[in-house]
Amino acid sequence: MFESKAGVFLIAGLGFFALAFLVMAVLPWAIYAGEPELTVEQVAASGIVPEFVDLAERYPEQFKRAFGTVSTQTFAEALRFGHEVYVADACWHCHSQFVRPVSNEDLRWGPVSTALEYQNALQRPVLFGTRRVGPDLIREGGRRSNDWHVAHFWQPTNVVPTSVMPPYRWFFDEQGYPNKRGMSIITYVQWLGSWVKEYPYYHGEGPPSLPMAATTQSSVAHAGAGSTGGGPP
Amino acid sequence: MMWRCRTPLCMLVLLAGGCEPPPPAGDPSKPVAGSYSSVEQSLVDEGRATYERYCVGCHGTAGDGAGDARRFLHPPPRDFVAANFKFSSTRSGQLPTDDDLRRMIRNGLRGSAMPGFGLLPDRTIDALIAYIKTFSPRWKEQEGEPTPIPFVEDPYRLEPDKTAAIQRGEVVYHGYANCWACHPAYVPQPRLNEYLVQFGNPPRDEFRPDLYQAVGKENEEGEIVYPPDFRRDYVRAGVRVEDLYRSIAAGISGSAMPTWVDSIDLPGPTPDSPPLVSKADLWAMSYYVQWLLSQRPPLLKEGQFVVRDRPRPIYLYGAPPKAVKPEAPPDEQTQKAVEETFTP
Amino acid sequence: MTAAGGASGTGSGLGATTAADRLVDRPLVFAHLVAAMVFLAVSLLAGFLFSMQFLQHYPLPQHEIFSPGRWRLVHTNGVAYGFLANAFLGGLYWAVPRLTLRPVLHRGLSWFLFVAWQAIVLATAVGLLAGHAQALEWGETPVWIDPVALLGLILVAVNFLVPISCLSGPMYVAIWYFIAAFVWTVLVYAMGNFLPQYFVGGAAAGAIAGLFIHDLVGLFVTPLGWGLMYYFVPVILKKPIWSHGLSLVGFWGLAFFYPLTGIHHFLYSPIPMFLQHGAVITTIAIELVVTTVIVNFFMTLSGRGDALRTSMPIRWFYTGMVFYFTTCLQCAFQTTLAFQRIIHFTDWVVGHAHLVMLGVFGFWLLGMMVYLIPRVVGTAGWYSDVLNSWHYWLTMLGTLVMFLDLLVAGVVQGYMWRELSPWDEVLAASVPFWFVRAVSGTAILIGQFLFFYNAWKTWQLRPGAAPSHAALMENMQPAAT
Repeated sequence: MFESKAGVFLIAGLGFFALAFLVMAVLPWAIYAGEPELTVEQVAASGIVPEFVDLAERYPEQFKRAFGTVSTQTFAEALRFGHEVYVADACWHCHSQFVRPVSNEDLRWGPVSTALEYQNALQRPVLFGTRRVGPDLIREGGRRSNDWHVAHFWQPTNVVPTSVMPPYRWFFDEQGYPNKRGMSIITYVQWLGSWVKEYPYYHGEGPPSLPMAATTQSSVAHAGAGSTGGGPP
Repeated sequence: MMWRCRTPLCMLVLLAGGCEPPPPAGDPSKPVAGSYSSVEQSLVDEGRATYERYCVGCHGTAGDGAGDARRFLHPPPRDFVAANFKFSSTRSGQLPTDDDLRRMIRNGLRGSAMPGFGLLPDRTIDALIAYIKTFSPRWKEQEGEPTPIPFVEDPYRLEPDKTAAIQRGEVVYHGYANCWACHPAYVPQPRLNEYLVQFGNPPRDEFRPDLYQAVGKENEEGEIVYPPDFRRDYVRAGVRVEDLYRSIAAGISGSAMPTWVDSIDLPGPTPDSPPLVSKADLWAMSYYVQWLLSQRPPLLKEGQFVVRDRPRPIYLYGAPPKAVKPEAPPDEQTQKAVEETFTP
Repeated sequence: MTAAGGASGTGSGLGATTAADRLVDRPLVFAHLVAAMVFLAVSLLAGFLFSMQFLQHYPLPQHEIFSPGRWRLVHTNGVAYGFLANAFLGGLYWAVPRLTLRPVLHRGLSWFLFVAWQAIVLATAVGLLAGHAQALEWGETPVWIDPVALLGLILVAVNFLVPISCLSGPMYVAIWYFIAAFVWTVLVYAMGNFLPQYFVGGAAAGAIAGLFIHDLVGLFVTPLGWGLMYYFVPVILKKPIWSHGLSLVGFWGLAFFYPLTGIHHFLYSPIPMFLQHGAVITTIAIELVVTTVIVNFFMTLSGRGDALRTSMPIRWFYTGMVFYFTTCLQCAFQTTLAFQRIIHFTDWVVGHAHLVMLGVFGFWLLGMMVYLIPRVVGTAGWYSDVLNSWHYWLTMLGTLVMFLDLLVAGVVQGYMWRELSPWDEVLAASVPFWFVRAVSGTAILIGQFLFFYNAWKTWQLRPGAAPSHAALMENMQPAAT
């Protein structure tokens, strides 16, 4: 049996592979099978990262050319395209996307990654990464400003002199404004981590939630619509 | 960081270190803050090395804020030669204290391109500060150390419920300090008039049309500065209530934000009655602003925000002008440079 | 052993080799070896380019298709699918007909597959440079190539499995490895390239990605590599493998444990912890199995140690085996959770990967090429034995230095990360290591170009249009290099 064609073909070739597949692939698959995998639209519907709006405010002409207006739909488009760029330019070979519970990684980057964070279409195939030449990115969203990212993609050593990241000039138009690719990859990077409770203050440096008195709450809530919504009440 | 000492070798090293004579007290070579001539040269050298590793890309070799990344950045990197620092615990226009610089380096300035360098060791940051001070003669010229604004006692500090502080802050913010002249207002207009009247101001029929938006103002460098909308934007210099107190009380140098700690007094109607506004109200405003900040939605929902018109130019070719003059048509030479750069 | 195994294993019967001679399509073997050399050159150049980026001296202009990140994809994929696959096919077209005493299924199919495979690899390279990569380590092959590549792999398997299926009775060890490799490669490729892309998402896809990365090494490269070793080593040493029992233990141990280790690529990740523990245990088990294989081969060498000096292929093979043992021992340690805290995501792993792909399988295949090229070209030997020697020493020392350099770099990086050094400090500390890596890589590159030059000159020495039978007979003797 151990030296016969059938033995090698069936037991070693098919059998052992099937066993390993069952244990190493089907089992974890089954464990998370009940967890819904969000589509990009569902992800976008949970809210637009402020940096996407900031891009529209900062570079209105270029943004209009790339996406038109700011909406959940264009945000989803930017995320999807940004993810494509992230994969195509192999960003994931030098940037991981998971914070491990060891080696003080939570102190450096923020909350440790959990399995359900990866249940969405933008983690297909999952972007855990294989090497950290640059820092982990899963808690990068909101950490730095858009103009930092623009300057960094144009010439990383301009903002981080020791950086070994290559410049990505094809993310820019002739005048040096980020083009659709540039805005998408920035949106994607600024989105990473936006789902965790601590975002964007991963190290607890955010404002404390203060108890609200009924009167104050009502008065400001009244004006609130005006403040973020546009016209005066 | 905890030092774990497990090996005999490590013990040996410690022992050897322990045998050295202790440094003499009152070492004259110790740096004296504020006068870089007496700062250890080694500290400055270390600071230069650190500066070249971390800072030079934006702030430039000459420290004038004209690094290669400058052309993308709004607000622009600080100019250490002019030494105009926006955020400090000193009065508007004065140099910041070392603690201020340390805080900015450690925490960064949220929403600007200045990241936090929280992992740098204390010694490195001290060296960096010593080096930054060599760029401008202002540090040498100043007499003594910069004086921080007074931190009056926080009357709400021990109250577990900050409601009173927040409510008082709302009244002072709108009625007395007129913050809504630049920042957005956060109450409806009738209530705003109510608050104005409380401080003896006449009620107004009309307010600026964009009362619920921030108003941009051009600063000395020609850059348009937008004061934060606290429920939408980041504030730069920290969100702890002490940080907010500092920003409000000391003001923001080079912007329209005044040094409130010097002008927030309003006596009562009679000499015997308590003052209508006192320095303690700075804390009330701080708590109010912090409360507004805590309502800043991390993610925006469609239809619940406006896209503001705040175009920011990028000066790809040629140095960005000191005073911003946006969108000059490219001359022949720069046009050529454009073509060369994009033709591999 | 079968007659074929005996014949090849001992190399005693000249009659058997002449019979096998007529079964082998020498130009095809040569074509595959040349293709392997071309892709090796491309891959090494791509790797060299990428290493220059780490020194902030990337030489190519800033254009999309010159993106260092994309050339890094060309580096790894070129090695796996261009160099290794082609060299393996060359070796298989040489060894399988001799082991089975039958030609492969169809000569036309073989040539078609040769052309098709080069087209697939080229299309992959072009696709990657154009930005069509899949986000899967070693599975970056653009999605539109995947089905074609899979079909190609199936046809390759059929082409070889048909003559193998005509064998009766117990088979020689090499054939076990080949059969298993054909089955596994097809399954692994299908699993890795389709499941995470289309069917599974999230952390479970991470488990599959880990399984794919590891299976590509463990179930495609390793069994083919060992299979060829089980064929070439006895042929060149003219003595049988030391212990058939250990061969059995080695094969079945690898077959059982190797596929179970995939998740050890993502320890401390959001994949369930009990699976991570399982992967660690099987990885350590592999090391025990590997030891039996190594013992078997070194006992085979026992008494013929002079071959390390006299036979260039044997020198390559056994250097590769020492590296194999090193890399597997390293693997047993580095997959423990204690090591993972420090070395995961660092250059340590990069050093490990280089030792595996170049130091082990690259060396075996280079040794095989050294053995095969004069035989398929029909010359009495190499154009220059001195160049061959230079090739060996430059490649060996380059690989060794690169491995040790990256190993130390990984430890430095890992501890600096743990001690919360600023990221820039870690980069600055890594630069000297990256410099040494680039230098050692240059040595490897120079070594290969000497080899290619040598092969080119050897090819020019080929006798006339077709080599005479006598010359062929003569060339069946082990190369006296």
